Amino acid sequence: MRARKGDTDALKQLLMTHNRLVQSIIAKMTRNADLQKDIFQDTVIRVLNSMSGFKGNCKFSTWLYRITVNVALTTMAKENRSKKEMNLDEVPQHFLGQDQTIVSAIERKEMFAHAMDVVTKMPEGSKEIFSLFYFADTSIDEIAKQTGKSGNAIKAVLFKGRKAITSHLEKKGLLEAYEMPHT
Amino acid sequence: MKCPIPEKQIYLFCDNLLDEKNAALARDHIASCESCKHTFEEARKSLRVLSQPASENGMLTDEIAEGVIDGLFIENDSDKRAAPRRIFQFPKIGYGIAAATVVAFAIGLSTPLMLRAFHVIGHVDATVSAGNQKSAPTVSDSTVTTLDKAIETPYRKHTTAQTRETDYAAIRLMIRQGKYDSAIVAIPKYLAKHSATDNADMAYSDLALCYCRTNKWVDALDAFAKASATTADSLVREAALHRTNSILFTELARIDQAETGINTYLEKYPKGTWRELEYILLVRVKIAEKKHKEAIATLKQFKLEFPQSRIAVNLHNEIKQMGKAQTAGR
Repeated sequence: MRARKGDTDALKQLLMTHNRLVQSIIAKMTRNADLQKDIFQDTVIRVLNSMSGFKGNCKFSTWLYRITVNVALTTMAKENRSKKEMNLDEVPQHFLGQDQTIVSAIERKEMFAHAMDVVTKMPEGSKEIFSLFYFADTSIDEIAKQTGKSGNAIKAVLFKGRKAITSHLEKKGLLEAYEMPHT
Repeated sequence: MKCPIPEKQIYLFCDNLLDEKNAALARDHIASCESCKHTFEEARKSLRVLSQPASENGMLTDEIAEGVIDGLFIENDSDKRAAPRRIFQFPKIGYGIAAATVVAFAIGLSTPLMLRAFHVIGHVDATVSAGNQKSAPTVSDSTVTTLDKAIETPYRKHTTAQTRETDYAAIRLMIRQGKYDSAIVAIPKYLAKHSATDNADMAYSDLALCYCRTNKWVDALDAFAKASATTADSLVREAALHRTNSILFTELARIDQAETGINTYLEKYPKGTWRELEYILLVRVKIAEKKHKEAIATLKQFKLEFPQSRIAVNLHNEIKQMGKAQTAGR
């Protein structure tokens, strides 16, 4: 409430409290460290700009996650437009030498890049719902409250998205070779 | 025969979104139906792709995140003093300044030499972040709250003049916003203005990145060469050589030059950061040259050095295909 009224200290405190979760959402959505920093920064700027528009009809965290997801999707879509297809140079070095018995770094990176490509190309409303569920761990009920859609409509969006990713990976011949880790 | 359980139910079951009754039905059916079992496995695999463990992804650190928040709130606070009613509505130019400040701040948080090397590569990746976490001497306290404190860090002292910081932050902002053409114009101006600057290698590396993003490969090679010539850091030189080799082969198809560069790299950097990728390039160079035996020998060497790399399988297949094509050609 204080943050909504323009108390910067209160807002800063809120952001500090939630910053790890925001970091985790961003980390789930992109592996590019530069992009992660950009998204985080733009998210905070967007929060500063939109705080007066926060109606308080949902949890601050849900509102913040929604902003994070949307900023991430917009930034990633821009990045995709400006980038050519991923090449081997873009394999994050931390993948190399780790966990290679499961699947090679390059394949992992490639699969994730393809999956995110599908996500960023989903229709506007769908990609937000999809990202809130899979990257921000937001419940169906919370998403329903935020978007005004029914639970079944949300599940349909999630299914369509997952199916699109599976089909895309299958078409690229990536899914068959993918070995599930032994958990 | 059509399955009684629709595909959607299998995906929802995989995502734990079915109620108990429907979940039990789906579970029983999947256990007895090969086709649905296959669908379920594929759904699981694609879910796994989306939900990588955080340890594989975590690159932002608390220091960086808190630094971003602090940096933006400093701008915001000064705005509050000037016009209290506009706390959350400062004008767009304010965002520009704030973002530029934060970019400068973020640059200040990173170990400069490592950062430069990875600018050469075209992106700062996780190794850099991980390396920074281990070795960055720049920020000792995660509760750094003002830019003044950030300026006290060794990197800030190292780069001295604040105008240079501001100028360069503006360039980084252009790059971040995808304005590569503007950055291509701005970087040489920056270099001319700050002659003898000690971050020329970073500027040239960024210039090379901008050329790469705009597909100006020859100019990119020139910028990489300058980054390499102006740096005191061997990692920057190594990265520039790797990226040069990659461009020569992949983008410009200058196979001979690429081969020479790759061999230089492999000889010069026995424990190089991009050694695995250089091997991959070399095998592909041999394939492009249709040197079947040499491709196999290179692959063998690659497997010896990187026994766990699964890309070897792909390379093996590529060599096999080349062999088949050659046989068919005869």
